[in-house]
Amino acid sequence: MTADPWLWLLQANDTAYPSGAYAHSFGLEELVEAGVVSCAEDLENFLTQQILPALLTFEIPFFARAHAAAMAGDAEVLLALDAELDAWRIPAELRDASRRIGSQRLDLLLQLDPTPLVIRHREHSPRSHHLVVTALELSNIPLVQAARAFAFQSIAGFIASSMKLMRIGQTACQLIARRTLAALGEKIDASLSQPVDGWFNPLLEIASLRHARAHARLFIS
Amino acid sequence: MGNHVSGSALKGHLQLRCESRADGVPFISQQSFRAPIHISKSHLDQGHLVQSIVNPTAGFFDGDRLELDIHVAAGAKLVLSTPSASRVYRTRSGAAAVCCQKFRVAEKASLEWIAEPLIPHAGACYVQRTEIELDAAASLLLFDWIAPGRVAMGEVFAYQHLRWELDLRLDGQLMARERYDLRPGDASLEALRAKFPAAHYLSVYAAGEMAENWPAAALDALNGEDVYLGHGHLTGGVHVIRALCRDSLNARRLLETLRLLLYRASSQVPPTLGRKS
Repeated sequence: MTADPWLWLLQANDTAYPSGAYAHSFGLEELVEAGVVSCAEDLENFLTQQILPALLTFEIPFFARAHAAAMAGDAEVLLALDAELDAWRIPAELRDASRRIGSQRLDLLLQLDPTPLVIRHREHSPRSHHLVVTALELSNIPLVQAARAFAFQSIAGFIASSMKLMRIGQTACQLIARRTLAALGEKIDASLSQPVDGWFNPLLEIASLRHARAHARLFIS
Repeated sequence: MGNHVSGSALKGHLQLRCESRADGVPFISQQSFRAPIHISKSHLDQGHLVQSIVNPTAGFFDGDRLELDIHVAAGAKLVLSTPSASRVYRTRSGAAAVCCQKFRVAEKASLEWIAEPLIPHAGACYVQRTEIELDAAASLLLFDWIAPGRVAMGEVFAYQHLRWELDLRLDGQLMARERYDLRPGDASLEALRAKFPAAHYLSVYAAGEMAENWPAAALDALNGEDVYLGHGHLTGGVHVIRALCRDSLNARRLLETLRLLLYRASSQVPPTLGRKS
């Protein structure tokens, strides 16, 4: 790995980094198909009212636990967290998407930075969740920045997929991204020290469950 | 004004153990209950013991605490239902009503939990914690139905706070974990309102025999203008169904259809619940 952790952060978060995330919409494709998200305003509401709260109540506090374990080199806790994520992600397609992206990143990490912790983790859980692998990747980055990078990946993933699903331009997407990230930035530090909790999103769960059984689809999830 | 309601809050329980006789007939081997809960006479149907749970106080008031501990022993088949909706009344003290329910289902045993809807009135505050422990060879059919409120009275998502927690373990391994708060004042209801303005929410977990021949295509066909439904599997062969329904009539129809479908798919006839002929 480059000795400069910030340059590594940029590399690992770059769209050219081959995580495979571009092939996933994480349920958005079905929501567009169902007419729930059909325009820029809908997309922004979906991100701010459904995705951001889930990030702040669940993903970010959970990431903080994984990041602490990775920093401490605690392989057992990382594996336990990886297994627990399966229980939180009810739709199979979301579990699978998370593990596909995670395993791809973990394989690459093994080539780029084969630390004893990375080697051991991959031996025990080669199909790890994206969240856990990102915590491993960014264990040399302070939590406040690492968590932002992880959250950014989530928001950027939805926005990138929206451009393939809806009539929405790049500028509109960037405006939505900027406002959504600004809202995230106001709350993310407080969320880092919160206990892990869930967020009620039956709509996205149902969308993901339905997407898995769709006859035709553009994205894997 | 004095806090009369919280001063009379009830702390009740229901402990129930269902076992199977040597000839395979299930029976209640242990029972203990205290208000705000009561059990009515059970009946046998289709090899299942059907037991109704009654709330004689008409619902949950603030500060009420109810603990359910249900154990279905090896080989026994138990159906638990409620004859009417569970109402949660407005909290006057600010305290929540709390229901903690634990279901343990042993090897080759079966539990169905089919309660009528939870109807949170305006200003209601309610916490429900559910723990499910299944043996690897146990069967489960668990329905949850959350209504938006007393819609006919104009109360749609007018409650104060609902807290929902669920852990489902199969053979000791955590399979599903749910934690969420529903508060009309924040964005937590957006996902409910986005599809139908007064959506009823249905959730189903199925395991063992009830999930072996999963009727996927028939479940897909239940989707329509008034029902938005998805289904799939968790790890370990447990299946889940989630649905949003336009109103109570569609939720009721869906619940009954789902029950029939899942029993038929497992080559069983659904036991009658004793609510109607």
